[in-house]
Amino acid sequence: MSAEAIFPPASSVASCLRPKTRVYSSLQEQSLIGIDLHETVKWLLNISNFTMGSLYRSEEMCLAQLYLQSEAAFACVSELGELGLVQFRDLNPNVNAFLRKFVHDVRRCDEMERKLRFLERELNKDNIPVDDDGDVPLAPLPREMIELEGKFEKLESDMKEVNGNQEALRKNFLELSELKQILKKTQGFFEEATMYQTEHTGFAPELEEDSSRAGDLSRGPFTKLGFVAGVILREKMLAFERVLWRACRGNVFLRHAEMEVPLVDPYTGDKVNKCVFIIFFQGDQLKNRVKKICEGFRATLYPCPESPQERREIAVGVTTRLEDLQTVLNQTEDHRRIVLSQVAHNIRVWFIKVRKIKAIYDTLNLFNVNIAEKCLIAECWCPVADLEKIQGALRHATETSGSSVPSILQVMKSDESPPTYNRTNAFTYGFETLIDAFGVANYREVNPTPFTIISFPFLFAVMFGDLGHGFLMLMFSLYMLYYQRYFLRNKTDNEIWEMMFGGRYLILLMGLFSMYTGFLYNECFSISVNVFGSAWNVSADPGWDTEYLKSQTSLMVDPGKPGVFRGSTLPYPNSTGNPYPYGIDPIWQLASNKITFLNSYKMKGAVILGFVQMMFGLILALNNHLYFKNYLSLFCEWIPQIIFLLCVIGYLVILIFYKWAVWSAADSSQAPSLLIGLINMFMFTAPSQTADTVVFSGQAGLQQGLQIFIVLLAVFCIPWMLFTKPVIIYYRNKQKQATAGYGEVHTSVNGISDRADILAHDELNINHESELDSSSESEKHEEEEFEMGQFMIIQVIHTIEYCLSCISHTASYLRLWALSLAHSELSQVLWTMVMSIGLKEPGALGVVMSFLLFWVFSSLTVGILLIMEGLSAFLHALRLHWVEFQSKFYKGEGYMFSPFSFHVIVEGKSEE
Amino acid sequence: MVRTKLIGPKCSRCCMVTSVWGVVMFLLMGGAYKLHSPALYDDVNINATRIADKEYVYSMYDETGTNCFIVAGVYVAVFFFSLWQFRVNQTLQAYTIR
Repeated sequence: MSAEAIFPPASSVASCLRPKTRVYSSLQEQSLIGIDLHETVKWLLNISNFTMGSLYRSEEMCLAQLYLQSEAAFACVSELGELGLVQFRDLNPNVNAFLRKFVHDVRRCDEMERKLRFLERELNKDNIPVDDDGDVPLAPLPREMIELEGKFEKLESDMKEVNGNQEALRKNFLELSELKQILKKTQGFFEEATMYQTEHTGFAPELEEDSSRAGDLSRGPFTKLGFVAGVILREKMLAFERVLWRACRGNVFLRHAEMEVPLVDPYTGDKVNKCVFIIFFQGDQLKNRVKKICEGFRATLYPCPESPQERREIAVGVTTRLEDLQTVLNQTEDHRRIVLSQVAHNIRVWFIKVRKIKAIYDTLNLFNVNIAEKCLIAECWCPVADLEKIQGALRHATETSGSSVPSILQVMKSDESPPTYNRTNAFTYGFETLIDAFGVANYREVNPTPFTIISFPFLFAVMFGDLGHGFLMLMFSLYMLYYQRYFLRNKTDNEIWEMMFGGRYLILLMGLFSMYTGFLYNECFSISVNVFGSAWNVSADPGWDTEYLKSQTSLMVDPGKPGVFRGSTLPYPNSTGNPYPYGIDPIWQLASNKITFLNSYKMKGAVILGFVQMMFGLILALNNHLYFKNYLSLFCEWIPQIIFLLCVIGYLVILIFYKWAVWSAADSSQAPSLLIGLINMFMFTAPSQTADTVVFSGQAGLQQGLQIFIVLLAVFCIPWMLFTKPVIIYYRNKQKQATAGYGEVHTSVNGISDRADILAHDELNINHESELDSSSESEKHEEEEFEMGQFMIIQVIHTIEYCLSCISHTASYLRLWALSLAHSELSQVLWTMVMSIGLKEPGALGVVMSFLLFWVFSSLTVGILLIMEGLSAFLHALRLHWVEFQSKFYKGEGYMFSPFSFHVIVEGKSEE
Repeated sequence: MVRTKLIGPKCSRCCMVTSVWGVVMFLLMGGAYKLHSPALYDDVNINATRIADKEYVYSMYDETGTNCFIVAGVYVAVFFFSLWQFRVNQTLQAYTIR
């Protein structure tokens, strides 16, 4: 264990009392279980309350004008921000950001935020944890803001001072340490140098006593050596040496030694390795050269005395000073930590306060300032259902701010399209996000979300159906829901996890539905479960005795033979003829043509589900037409659309059900082929026994007649969709034009004054616009024609799109079959290739292999089948909703209601 | 509790979940084998020449079932091992707070 763990610094003992480990938090969340079940139950109770505030359509919104007294404005905006129910409009869109009224205050807030960020950085440098007690304070009043400003100013200057002092002290410390090292190392160098001298000169060793010989050149080639001592970064040592050698032509003598202890750089705080060096040279020129090179390499030179006594004295002095400095440094550290811990206590609250103030001033900048009346005018969108709450908040704010004049809220009429506001809770939020990702609903359009809550997990489950995998998903979602509070509070940086956690209710439903469809498909990790007793009795076939079976490798079990398809053994033993009560019969797992059988079943199921969902989409479109009183669209578009869909696919679906109901296991070999029948229907080929297309047995003629009628009806719908609406609109426009033109002619003929009085209105118009009118008449006609042409093209596009989509979207639903086939095949492969190998081994080897292979099986199941297939099925189910379902009724061109809410602002910023 | 850390916190959690899954799944499979479920026919070691012998087939089923129960037992041991390691990691984490 590290030293820190055993002897924690004194100032962080306080933080030890509040450990940030999982031990503590898991204890905390134990007491918070069950609260979200409570929320869900409350929601379920509220869902029956289908007043104006329901999820079926977006909320009714109104445009309101607020008249706020200048003194009360700040408090009012603060209250509204806490409430989070109004969306303000910008009443000064043309005003530059720097010219708005409250720009000065916004700037002050920015300054405060900057100071807080600086303090935060200092906190992070020292790794002091920020206190988070979950408390969200209210926005303080303007006079408190001045107090806060002063506080931050003082803290910032304190910190800067402390930092500056620390830096200076550290620098000093570094210099002294280096000097100490130099003194230590150069001891050795000097001794060497003396030896070198005596070897070559042969004179007495005490170099310092021969100072008289300093300038004596005649005494030999060597005069007294000058030297410089210093410290350089270890990395630069080699280059330094080389440059010295080259520059001084080998006439200098360099000795260096590495320092064992790395020193702390005062500016960056990093540890650096340095070397001590000493350079001996002769003469002034070399001295200058050496000094310049040292400067170039950023080596610090220190004055080093020659005599050993001086060196010792200085060494002692340096050591003492170093000790003093260390004490001072420690004290500075402690002081800094004390200041920072005080900051840590409050910084979160301060951040929130400053952000709230800034948001309020930003909002105040959007208002219209009426200086004469000393009031501010604001325009906002708000839900009609919440007007009471908003007015209450305004009243409360006016009271707290002590203003005598009440704030007024006045509802205005507006032609603009209001924003779309859907009230969601934790459960519906996930589904609403899915729909909004495609497009926000138009104002008061039918919202697909409440239906998506069930249809999306169901379509997912059709593609994912497996009991085992569904169970694993369910467990995972329950884990996320159990620890919901913990995860909500501690947001991680991992986006993928956050996305999955955001969709926890989705995953819960997807898991539940997958278990259901897994039960229907009778697959649990690709193994079938026999719950009710199989309906097939293989041994009832008379020709199949042991000898016959031994000679054959594969046989076809014929349900036509009596007793073979005897019916389920539960609850009626032996032959009711009823198939397996719920789900796919488990015998199919042993059949080699399992896939062929399931294909037929799943494809038909996919077409039925597609038809049902598309019909439902059309019914929602009917609701929209009725609500918006768009009767033209209703008669000219909706009715032919529905008839077309019913004719083309509805008939097919009816035939599917008919075939399932009428043909039993015994005569299944004579069942008709529906696909060929459908193709023949459109080619007007008569149904015949040989082609297997007679559905209503014995009624081939009737069937042909019926089918011809259906096809003709569908074809008739196309011009209905194409022409009726444009023609009606054209005639409407023409009527309008006719009445306008008639008025003009009337006044120009009758110039009599009394008549002119009555028609003064028209006359005025004519007088003012006579020239314009005559020239613009033709333009208007052109405009009408032009609009007509464009309208016609749009109608053609819509018609073609709809008619083709009836076929293509239905075919698109076949992905439900395709993906479920892929899933079951993958699952089977995984079982056969991994688990089965272990299970088949006999004895002890089997135990070992099963044990080891299960690790492989589980990780591949999670990785491939749960994650990859899950994502794939999720994506395709989503696509089916977005394109095939919503194209029938959804416009999705609205804009979201984004209210001014502190919750959003504070949460949003804290995620950065 | 002996405080030797052999696997990390994430690994111990993963092992715990997998071993619980293994215990449940192998117990259920063992039960299915003991009930001679035909769905598991392909996963039993049956000599092709002796498929007509009912007793032989049943005995092979039972043998595989026993194997499954033994594996479930081994996974119980793995579960307790990973639980111990999980606790060890928790206490180690609690010591190194600042």
